[in-house]
Amino acid sequence: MVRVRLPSYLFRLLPEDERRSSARSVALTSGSWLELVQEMRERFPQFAERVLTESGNLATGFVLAVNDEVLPSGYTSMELHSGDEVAIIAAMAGG
Amino acid sequence: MEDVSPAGDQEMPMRIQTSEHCRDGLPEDGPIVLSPSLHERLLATVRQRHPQKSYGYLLSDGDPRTPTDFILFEDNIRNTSAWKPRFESYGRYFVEHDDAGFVATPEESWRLQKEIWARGMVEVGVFHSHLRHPANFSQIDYELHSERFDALWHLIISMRSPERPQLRIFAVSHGRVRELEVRAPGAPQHGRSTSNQPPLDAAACNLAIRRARLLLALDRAGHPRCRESAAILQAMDELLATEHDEAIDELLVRGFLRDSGRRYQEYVAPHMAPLNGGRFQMGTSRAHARHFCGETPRHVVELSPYHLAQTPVTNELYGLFDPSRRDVPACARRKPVVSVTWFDATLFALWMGCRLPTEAEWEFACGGGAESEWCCSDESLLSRYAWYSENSAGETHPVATRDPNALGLFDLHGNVWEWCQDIYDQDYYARSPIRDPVNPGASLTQEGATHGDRVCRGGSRQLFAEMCRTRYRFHEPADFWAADLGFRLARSGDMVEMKGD
Repeated sequence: MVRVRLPSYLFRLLPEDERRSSARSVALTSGSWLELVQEMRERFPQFAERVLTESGNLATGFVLAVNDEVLPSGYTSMELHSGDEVAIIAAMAGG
Repeated sequence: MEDVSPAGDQEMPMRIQTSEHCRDGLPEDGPIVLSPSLHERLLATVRQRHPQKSYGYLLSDGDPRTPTDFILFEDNIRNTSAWKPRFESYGRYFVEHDDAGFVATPEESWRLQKEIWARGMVEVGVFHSHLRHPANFSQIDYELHSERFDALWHLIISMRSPERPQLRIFAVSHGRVRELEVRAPGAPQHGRSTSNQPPLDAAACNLAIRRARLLLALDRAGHPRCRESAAILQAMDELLATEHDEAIDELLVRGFLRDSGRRYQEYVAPHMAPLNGGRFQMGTSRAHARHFCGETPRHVVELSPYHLAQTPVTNELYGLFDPSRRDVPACARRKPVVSVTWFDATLFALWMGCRLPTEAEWEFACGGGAESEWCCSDESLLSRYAWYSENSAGETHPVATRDPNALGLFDLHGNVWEWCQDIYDQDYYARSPIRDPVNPGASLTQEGATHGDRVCRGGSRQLFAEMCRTRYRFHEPADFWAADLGFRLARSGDMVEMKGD
């Protein structure tokens, strides 16, 4: 079981019945990043449309941290294991 | 659906207000409340860091409209090869100012996110400072915000006049932007005029006349003895409220304004353009509103004939009223006067036998009622008509040094923002009268009156083309002034000249 934690502004993009966790996290069963992408697309289509590119990367402006480590690239071939903690957040930008 | 409001007639002079028009399709919204302590801490931080840009999150432990704290970022990778080209693609301003724009590092984003979670708080808003621009929500702000944060509102703190920071908050929803009301110490109350005041009793009348006698006094050269424009205008307002014809005639018509007709004829009339007015389409259709606030619905306006100055008021002209402004280098005499409040501009206009243009008059004069975004057919020609971020080198330029528009008027786009008469209300277009609309706001004498924010138009020397558009609306508090904020004179066709005795 992989736990995905999200900040408030992304957590609200999840379907209402997935937003029960007070810690703003969801549990997924994926064993790799690409499986996680597929599972998020199926369960959280609005979130996936905002955050993921077609090739399964995070869209520009978003940050991935796995087990407290920021992963700027190379994560598409990443394996995930039960107990891993994944966080997706935005990197703020403006004019 | 076409959203041009139907042309009205004498029987139906007001537009019909609908929730769709009033709210632009965005959900009903309420004010964002910044407590005095949060407001003070946030502004102190932004001021202390200026001219370094500040940005971060506003945080709450509950109500998304009542933040209780903020968290600030320090790092900025805007100038790395990954981001610099994107910023510079927005125009010369971003090439010339590498401190314009910000992007947080992934590492700091993650570190601060963990801190927010550890404190049991949530992000409810984003904030950032503008170093030179007003607190408007530009295209780049809109694009970078909406890629990430639909659910968060966005506070912009303008440090354009560092001693007078201005705060505006915007919400993005369904691809549209709406300005939210800010409740904070000293924040202006936007919007609607309030009801008429009750008649003054005899004691109040006497007091008003005594105040007017003091505040409307002129020196031998005809300059106001009082240097506080707002106080003089308030005294005029109080005097008029007495309805005491003799006192009004003595202190105002034959007093403060006694030479205004002569001054108008001598200094202003030769440089006024007569405009026939007539019917035109004001504002922007919803389909084209993009991230611009307050421009919808596009609607029919009918204007009476009026005169408008061909250029903004110059230092040379303003110096006739305020001799302290005469002391400028020769090269600045023909530059627009700036750092004037709405009160200064309004009072000067009266002293010159004129008034400020209404927002509708200004828009008609700028675009001539044409469909295009500027007085020219497209942005590539704008440099011929305007001093703005692409060609001004950050400097205010002498008036009439670019081409005039089709009506013979100069500098409506760029150079300096121009105050208009109207109090700002982003929903005004949905309820404004069709004939000669002007949103007058509260009387200056009304108890608790705040004057509200006043409309300013046209953009300035350092604004992007999008903010110099014919239909672009912005606003500042009436007592605000800035180094790129001026005005121009208008006069009604039927204004009575007040000549000296």
